Amino acid sequence: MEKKEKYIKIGESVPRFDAYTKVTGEEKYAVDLYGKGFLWAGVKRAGIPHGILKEIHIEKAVQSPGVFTVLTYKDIPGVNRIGIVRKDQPVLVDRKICYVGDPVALVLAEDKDTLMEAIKSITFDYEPLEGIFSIEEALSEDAPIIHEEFEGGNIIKKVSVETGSGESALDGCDVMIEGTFDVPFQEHAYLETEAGWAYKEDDGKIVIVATTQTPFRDILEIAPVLGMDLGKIRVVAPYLGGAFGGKDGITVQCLLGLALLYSEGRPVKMWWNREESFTASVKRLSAKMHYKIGADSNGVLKALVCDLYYNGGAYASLGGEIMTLGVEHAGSAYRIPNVSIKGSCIYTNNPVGGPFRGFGVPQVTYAMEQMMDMLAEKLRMDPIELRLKNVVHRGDKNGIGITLTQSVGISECIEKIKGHPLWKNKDRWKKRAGPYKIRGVGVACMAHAMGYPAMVPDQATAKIEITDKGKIRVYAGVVDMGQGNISTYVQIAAHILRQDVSTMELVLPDTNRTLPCGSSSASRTTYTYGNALIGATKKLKDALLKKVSLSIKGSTADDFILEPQYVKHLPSGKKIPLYEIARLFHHSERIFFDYFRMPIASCGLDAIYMGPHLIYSYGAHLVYIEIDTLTGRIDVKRYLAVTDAGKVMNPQLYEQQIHGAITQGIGYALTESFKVVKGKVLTENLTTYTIPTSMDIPQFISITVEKEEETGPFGLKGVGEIAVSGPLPAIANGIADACKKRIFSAPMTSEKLLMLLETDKRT
Amino acid sequence: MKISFVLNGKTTEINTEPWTRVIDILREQIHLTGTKEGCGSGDCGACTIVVDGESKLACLMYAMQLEGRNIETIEGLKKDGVMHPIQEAFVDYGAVQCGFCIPGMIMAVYAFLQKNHRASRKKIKEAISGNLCRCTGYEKIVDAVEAVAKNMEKRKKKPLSLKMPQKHSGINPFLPERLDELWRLIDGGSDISVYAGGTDLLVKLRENSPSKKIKPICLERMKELKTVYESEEGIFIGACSTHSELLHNPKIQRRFPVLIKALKSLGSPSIRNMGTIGGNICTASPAGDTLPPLYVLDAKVEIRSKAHRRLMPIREFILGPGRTALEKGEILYGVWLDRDINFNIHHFEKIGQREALTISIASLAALLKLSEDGTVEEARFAWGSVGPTVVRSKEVEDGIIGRPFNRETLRDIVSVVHGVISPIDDIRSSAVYRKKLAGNLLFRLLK
Repeated sequence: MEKKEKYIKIGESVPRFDAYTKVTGEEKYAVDLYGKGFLWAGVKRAGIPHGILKEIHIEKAVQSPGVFTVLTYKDIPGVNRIGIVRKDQPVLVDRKICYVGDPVALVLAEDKDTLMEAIKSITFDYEPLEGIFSIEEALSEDAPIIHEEFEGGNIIKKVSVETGSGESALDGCDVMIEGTFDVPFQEHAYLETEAGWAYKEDDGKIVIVATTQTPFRDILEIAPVLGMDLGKIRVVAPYLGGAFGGKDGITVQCLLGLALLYSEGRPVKMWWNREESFTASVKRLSAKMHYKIGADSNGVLKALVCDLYYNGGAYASLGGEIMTLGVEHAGSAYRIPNVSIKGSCIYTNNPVGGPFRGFGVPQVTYAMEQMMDMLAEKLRMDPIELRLKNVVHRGDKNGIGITLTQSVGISECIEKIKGHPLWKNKDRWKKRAGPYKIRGVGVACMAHAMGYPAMVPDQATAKIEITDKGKIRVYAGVVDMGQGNISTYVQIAAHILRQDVSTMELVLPDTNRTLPCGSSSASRTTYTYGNALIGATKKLKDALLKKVSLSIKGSTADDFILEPQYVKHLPSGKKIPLYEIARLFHHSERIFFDYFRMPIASCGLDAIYMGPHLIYSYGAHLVYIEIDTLTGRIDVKRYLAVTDAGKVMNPQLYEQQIHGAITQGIGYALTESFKVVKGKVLTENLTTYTIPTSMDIPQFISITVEKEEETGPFGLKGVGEIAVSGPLPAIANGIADACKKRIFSAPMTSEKLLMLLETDKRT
Repeated sequence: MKISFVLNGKTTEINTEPWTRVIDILREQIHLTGTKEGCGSGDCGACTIVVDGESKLACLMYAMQLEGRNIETIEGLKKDGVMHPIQEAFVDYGAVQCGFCIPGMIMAVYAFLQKNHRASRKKIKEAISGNLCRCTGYEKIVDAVEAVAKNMEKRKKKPLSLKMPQKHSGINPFLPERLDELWRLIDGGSDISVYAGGTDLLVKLRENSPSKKIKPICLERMKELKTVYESEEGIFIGACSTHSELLHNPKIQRRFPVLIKALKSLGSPSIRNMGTIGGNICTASPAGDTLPPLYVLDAKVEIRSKAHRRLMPIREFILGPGRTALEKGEILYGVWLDRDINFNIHHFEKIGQREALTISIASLAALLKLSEDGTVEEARFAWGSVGPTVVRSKEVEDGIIGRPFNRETLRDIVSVVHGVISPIDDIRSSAVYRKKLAGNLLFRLLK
């Protein structure tokens, strides 16, 4: 069997390593763990949006056959507060209920039916409080304060950025455009709902296998709640069945840990059903945004003034930080010398706002990119030309006055749109609409910062091992929620070591075995860990070659080259199997580490709360839409996405990110609105919350602008989030192009469209 | 209760309560965790399995329905360590991201490709329209399926030969096969309920407390209720005919295009493999997709009890949302349609929040007979989701007869339409939008 030896390379479409076990059903997700003698755990949730909890009646549940125990806040040994930035959220409510999903009691039972029955039997007394749900209500003077223990009333966080002459710069502008925009809550709707499996190890250590993007940070939350040392808790994150930010932080982890304290050594399983997931998981924050932009008569942007209000729901989560990223991106990808951007994130009695792919940026991009088209209309300019005139280039200052010293490819993205047949032939296509159809074409630009803000070190420690069997084992410290980052880690190591898949092994994130690397979020997973892994892998490579050179007389490391499963001695052509070389290593010298921290801006660190970002990915999108004038139905016909996320390591995985983000964006634009009325969730399942099916999605064209980012691993920048911001404004601009009228609030449903068209008729 | 079936080629016997969900049997009792649960209500397709060659949803099936069936799950596709071509293509074409939807997706594709060798992208998209994926945007999944479909054309298919398990005679009293068996069961209990496909009932039962769980009798094996035949009285469709069976029935295709169009828009392929026309009627939802066509076709329902048989027009049978004229001890036996339906336009359109797997916001079924000069000779219209029951109006239909079929005529009748419908606001739409749609949808007929 003479087969050409082929090793995995960077830049090639390597199939994902996790795909093999996923297509056969063998991969074990957190939901797939069962074991001998385990107990089911479940939560009684408040069901009311605001109130003071009085007595909890658990007696009936406790006495039911098959119920193991029922726990309330009184059973929490440690501190009953969690929160990433602000500790405002109880594990089990002790005093105040702040939204319908607040957990009131935790039940452990022998089977699912008993569990459900017991949960239903629990009641509680409470004193209802007036709920506040909208931003206006929360900010009104006599509004009840949801969290009295914190300063600032119902404002979680307020941020403002002013550059140049700020708001007064509007006065000197030839043209001024104004608009108010609304976006709804959006639900992640990952197919795998929150779940976990907890058990005790022999040494008393608590192990929580959970659907989490943040195993290392979770320990910092779980330990104080359980009143235990950090070292007593281990969190394991299998592959996640989707997360998109919704599993960034605590969902089941603390409850499972608590349950385990009372389970008398029996393992505990928790698996939220769809309705519970929709109620109790975080949402993309709804927002209200008021924008003014000013430009000269040539269309050069002079000023941006905006007020951004993000509805943060019942607990802070990362709402303040999400709003802040919105502030940082309020001016999209443009050079604007004078800005005044004010942002607030507000507490309400709605489900909790939290991270979701895009992290505050899709909201402002919806506003700013419509503003650009409105400006183009007013100036009778081509929307592409107007954008080209104003986009940032390397060396420019961005919207908050930070000099962009790293790669910037937005103008190249727009140029690709401009030169594409879909743009050139758009007028011809529009004219060919059939009966009762009108057509429009929209464009939008977008930028997305990579990594954590400057004040939060965005770092990772990579770990790689040559096993005693001669396999290369990569210890992935960053969770793979489906984006394929871990597969890319294997690709990186295999590429450097010139190996094929048969040599590679993997350890998934596990706080006992892998090293702290930060969260799976912020378009950072491949950039930060990848950089660290390159360093660690190179060390391993050096060691391998040195080790083998010691075993052959008179040779140096330079005489050897790595090949799949072998090291080849070039002068003799001799192949030495890796498993033989592996034996030369003492176990204490098998493991190699390296560290990486993402660079930050060298000045302007006080420009914004937590510091600014330095490296951005960019995109420009074009969409063809067709509107049915009888029903208002919007059909997305074609979609072109041009992306600058640096060099491409694996075209297939890169496209996966672009396709998936666009699809979530199309849902956000057209059908997805997580509806909450008076704090009660109306869209509580996948029947009523409608995400796109295969029939709702057009064919995509994804083009890359492969601009090298010098600091990136193999020149890469993050690609996970950038494309999610595009569909909403691009489709909005396409609608305006078709109807000559604009919708200012998302989702842009058929109903809104038909109303818009019908008002048209009357005028 | 003992239940026997073939699971991934092996005869399997389990001991379980008959009303345990199949998804729970597979995952918790047989430890096959490849089949995933994403919603529990038939809205995501993650639990898709293949039953006797058809894709079905394991979250909406009870254990007793497994009896004597050939069940295939994702675990059965890889044979002797070799992945199925569909699995290989999913890997190669990058169709997998988080992978949670993938087992269900692959099973839906597997069932589809067994019956459809030449599959266009559009057909593939339809085939997976009941399987939600939140990661991929579907494109690479369609790429993968397209590639397999092309290769499958070349491959010869081996016919499946399976040894079916010995049937447990009489041990599954909740799965009757004959009417006399059913009457015995119905007589025996005071509060007996029945179901056919389970796609409505099992969703509804999720809300009940386990202790209050009703134990319905499943009618899916009632042969008499699954037939379609022609007689003097007309065309008979057994109540337990699935939507898929009707879609593929040449008699129905030829005579009742309006019904076929509606069936195509109903749920997803798996829902159509499970759900039945009788179930759709008895659920009596104003959004039931088969109802507007049945109303314009002047369908009559046949009701049976142990003692009697009666016929009644469908509009009298459905009393309100969730309410029918069925009395205790009665079942819906079937539907009768006229043999000589003579219209030159059969039209159905449904507006939902999205293109597939969607509940109607408003729908319109229409039958028109136009003379050669374009005058309306006969017209029937029925609207779904714009009132407590499907709306048909003599006023509207009479008002259009004898008039030229054009925009002016339609404009005139829109105001009449607005007078006869009574839409409501709900989570999917406002009453105002529904009202506009009810009128606007008529204009599509001019196309």
